[in-house]
Order: sequence, then structure tokens, then C-alpha cells
Amino acid sequence: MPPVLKEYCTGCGTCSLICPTDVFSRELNHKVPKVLYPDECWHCDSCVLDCPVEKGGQKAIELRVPLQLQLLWIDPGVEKQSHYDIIGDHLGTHPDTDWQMPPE
Amino acid sequence: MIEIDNNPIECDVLIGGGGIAGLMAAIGAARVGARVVIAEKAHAHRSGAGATGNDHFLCYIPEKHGNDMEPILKELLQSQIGGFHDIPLARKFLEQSYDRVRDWHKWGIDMTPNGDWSFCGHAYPGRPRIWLKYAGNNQKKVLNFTARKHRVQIVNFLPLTDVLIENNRVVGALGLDITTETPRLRVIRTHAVVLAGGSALRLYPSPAPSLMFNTAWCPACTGNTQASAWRAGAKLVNMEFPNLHAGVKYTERAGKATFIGVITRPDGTPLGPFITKANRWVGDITADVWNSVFDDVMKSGEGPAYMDCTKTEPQDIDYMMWGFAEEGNTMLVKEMAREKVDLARHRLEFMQYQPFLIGRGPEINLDGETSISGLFAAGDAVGNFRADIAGAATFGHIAGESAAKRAARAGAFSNAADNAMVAERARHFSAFLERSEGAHWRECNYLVQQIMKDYANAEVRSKTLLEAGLKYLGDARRRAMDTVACANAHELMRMAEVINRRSAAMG
Repeated sequence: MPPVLKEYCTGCGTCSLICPTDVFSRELNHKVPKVLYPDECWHCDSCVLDCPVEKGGQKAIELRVPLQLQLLWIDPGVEKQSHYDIIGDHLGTHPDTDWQMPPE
Repeated sequence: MIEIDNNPIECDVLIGGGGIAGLMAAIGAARVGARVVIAEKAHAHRSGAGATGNDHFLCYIPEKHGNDMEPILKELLQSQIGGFHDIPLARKFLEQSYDRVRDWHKWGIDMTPNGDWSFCGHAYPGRPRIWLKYAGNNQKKVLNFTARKHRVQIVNFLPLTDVLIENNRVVGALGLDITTETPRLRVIRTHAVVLAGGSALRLYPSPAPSLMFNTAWCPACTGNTQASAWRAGAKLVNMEFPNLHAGVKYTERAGKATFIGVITRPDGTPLGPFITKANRWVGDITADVWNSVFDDVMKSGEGPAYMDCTKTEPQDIDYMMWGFAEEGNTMLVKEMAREKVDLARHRLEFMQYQPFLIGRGPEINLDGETSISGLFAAGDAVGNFRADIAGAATFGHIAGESAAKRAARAGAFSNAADNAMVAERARHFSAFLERSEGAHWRECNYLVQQIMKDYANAEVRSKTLLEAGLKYLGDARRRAMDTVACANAHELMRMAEVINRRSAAMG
């Protein structure tokens, strides 16, 4: 569901007009657009960049990036060390990998 | 039957696509007095590969590079985009590139964000740098405004499906009007067409297989230029050479040269011979010259390969993050912030993506014209020249000017609406719309991707594989025509894309 509209969207229609992949309904009379084709989102951020409504530094639309696009990263080579023992329990020594193994 | 608007648009020059090449072609044509219409699939304000920005523009600036252009030409031809150039085109491009840089600067795109013309990225240590760093986040806004100032008429939500040809000469084009739920066909009468539809994406699977629109270049660019030029009888070149790009793992994005870092093994040692520490002027060119590095280390077991910016100076990290935003990678910047990925501390894995068609397509001459009289092409879809955004800007402008001159010599408009292609398209599209049940356009698109990945991949290409793939694409075409159902204008537009993508694949 990539673009998510906030409750304070004014229905100006900008996002639905400019989306390069036409994922929104183009509504009349200031109705809030519907995200008709969420899986056709390019995640280009155009809708967010062009949204004219802002509340507390937050636009009335934001992208929710799907889990499949998780960024894959590791620590620098010099800090490289195993944060897990061989049976998969976490050692909890590093803030970036401080998470709990789910129970079996 | 699908409605055909019986009120055709008339113009001297028609541009297919309102991206960088299309807008610059329109401005080029309007500057020499033509009445210009741009037909754009989405909305020209944010469409095409340059929708949200760019930050590097290949050009030759004599006051910086010296009066001898040859070293810059040599650098261009040896760069990662230099493989398939007709050299006279590359020369003409370099000669005019500075004019376009100055145009953009004058119109309001900041081409000197460092205070002077400055070149960085995609550079070999100790050799001339040819990519001008610029701040292009507003480029489409500025070019749209400038086109309108030149009285260019921009018709949004009107993707072109076909060029209409009579006696080996362009007489018009056919557009699919998707303004409302109910699609209509629209004929455009014109003397010259500049096809500027960009590259062909979604031809091969995404690195995140479930997300078809996760592409580095704009996923709405689907080979319309290559396909409609091919159907019009224009000569296409270099289509058989796959083009591969690399970047952030799974999140397919362009702009790997904006990263100021070193490509490393998991233990932090560099994979390439060029640098051990990057700065804003010279990054790691390893992936440009060893295109398959990311894939090779996965296959050899030495991988994965990482982009390592952890030794980069803090001010260059800031410069890099600013560069991402200017080139339109704000999604990546925001996602790194959300996920607390800090490039000063963390290394991002990179990968090689599946191929797409860029710099492969219609062959153009020095005027930007294809082998069909009155049919021009510009931008990423051109087959015998490539310089990405700078190429789109410079040869777009050239094609627009030439098209306008061609139009000025033309006589009366042909009717165009009675062209056999109009009736044929109407029949195809009506069949899709009239079926209440049937295959979805996605099924066809995924099938094309499967066939391309197995029979026309980048690693193994042989006569027997390609012939088999071509046969299967032909079967896929027949079955799609007989079974696909489209519920509305959006779905029909997507299906028309699949048809073009398949044509581009077969071409």
C-alpha cells in the first residue's frame, strides 16, 4: 500500500494528478483520492514532494515502503564481529543488532 | 467499439513523451516557430526518468576542459554509457552540450551548486571529469514552465500508441486518452513526430520479484518509442546488447555514482584497484568498468559486495546526502532515516539489476531523424547515441529544431484518421474492453518477463535460445489478443504498454 493519506488531507488532488504511474483515483469536488493501484507505486516520492498540506512538519501523504524493499546493511569491516553465537542466540553487544530471537 | 474522438489535434510537431527529451525537443521546435504539442502518458510535471531530479549532466565546457574537445570525447566513449555511439553524434552532442547547460542555468536549474562549473562522479582518478554536478530537483518544474512560456501545448494522460505513416512519411499519430475511466482514441495530425518515450522498463523481473514497479528508471517508460518506431518501419540498432545497471540491493534505484564510497568485500577490503578512500570528486569507478562485480562475487562466494562510505569525510557524506535529494532519490534518503541506516557507519549491499533497454532503439542521424521521413527520436530510447539526461536535453533540442524545419516545408495535413492503423488499434482495444472476463494485463507482463529472463538474458544469448524466445513471445501475443480483458482506461493503458514492451522485446 505505498502512499498513505493522512486524515488532514484536503483533497486538493495534486498527488492524483501528478503520479507518474497513475495509482490514485482522480476525484472531483475536493474528495480525498483513493489509492487504487498501490502495487504500481514507483516509490518516486513525487506525491509527497508536491503535497501542499503540512502539519507539524508532516505532509498529508507519505510513502509506506514495502518490507520486500528492506535495506540490507552491515557494520564497517573494522567493526565486523559476530553478534550471534552459532545456535542463533543473540549476544546483545551492539546497538544495531540488539534484538531478541522470537521464541520457538 | 472504443470511441474515437472525431476532433483530431493538429500541430506542426508532435512530441511523444513529456520527459527531459520531450520537453527539450518541444522547446527546440518552438524556438524556431513551430506549433508544438506534447502528448504525455502521465502528467509532464512529474514524468519520466528525470521526474524528481538528477545531479550529473555530461558536457564539454571549454573554459573548464580546455579548447581541445578530443580528450572529453575519448572519456565519453570510454565511460559506462559510451559503448554504442556513432561518433559524429557524440561530437555534435558535446559541441552543443554547453549551450543546453547555460539554457538550464538561465531558466532556473542550478547548474553551479558549488559556485562554479564543477565536475564529479563516474570519474577515473587522474583523468578528465566529464559529469557536471548540478542541483536538478526542480528540473521538470522549470522545463515545464519554459515549454509553456514557448507556447507548447502539453496534453497529459494521452500516451501515444502508434505513429501513422503514409508513403513512408509521417502524417500523424494515435493516442489513447485516459483522462477518464472510459478510454478514447485520439488522432493527432502532424508533419513531424519526435518520439521521446524513454527506455523500456518492466521487460525483465524486478530484483524484488513481487514488486513489478520497483525499477530504477521510470516504470511507466515501457518501450513505446522503440515499439512504435519499429512498427512504423524505422531501423532499430543495438537492441541485441543487454544493458545492466547496479545499485542498492532490492530497492532498485539509479544513482550509484552519487555514493561517495568504495566497493568492498564483506571484510572491508576494496574489490577494485582504483581507490581505498573516496571523495566528492572521485568515487569508486569499479562498478562502471567491472559491470558485473556485484553478481560475480555472489557467484564466486566471496560476496556480498558493499558500498562502503565509512571512511568518507563527514563533509563529503553531507554532500552525498544532498546529492541524493537533488537527483530525486528522496525516497532512499527518507528510508535510510526511518531505518536508522547511517552511511557513515553502515555499509549498504549493492547488486546488479536485470537488464532494461536504454541507448538501444531507433537509429538517428545528425538531425535526430530516424530512417522514416519526419519521424525523429530522442532521449533514452535512441539506439546509436547515449548520454542520459544530457543526451536527452541536447539531442532532444536538436531533434525538435530539425522536426520544426521539416514541418515548415510540409504542405497540407493528411486526414490521418482514415489510416488503417487507427481501425486496427480500435479493434484490438475494443476486444479487450468488451470482454467481461479474461486474462489480466499483469499475466501478460509477467509472462514477457519470464520469457525474456530465460531466453534473452544478459549472460547467455544464442541463436536457438533467442529463436525459441521469439516463438514463445509470438504465441504469447496471440493468446493475449484473444483473452485479455481490461476493465477501464488505466488497465487498457497498462495492456497497451505490455503490447509495446513485447514489440520492443521482439524488435
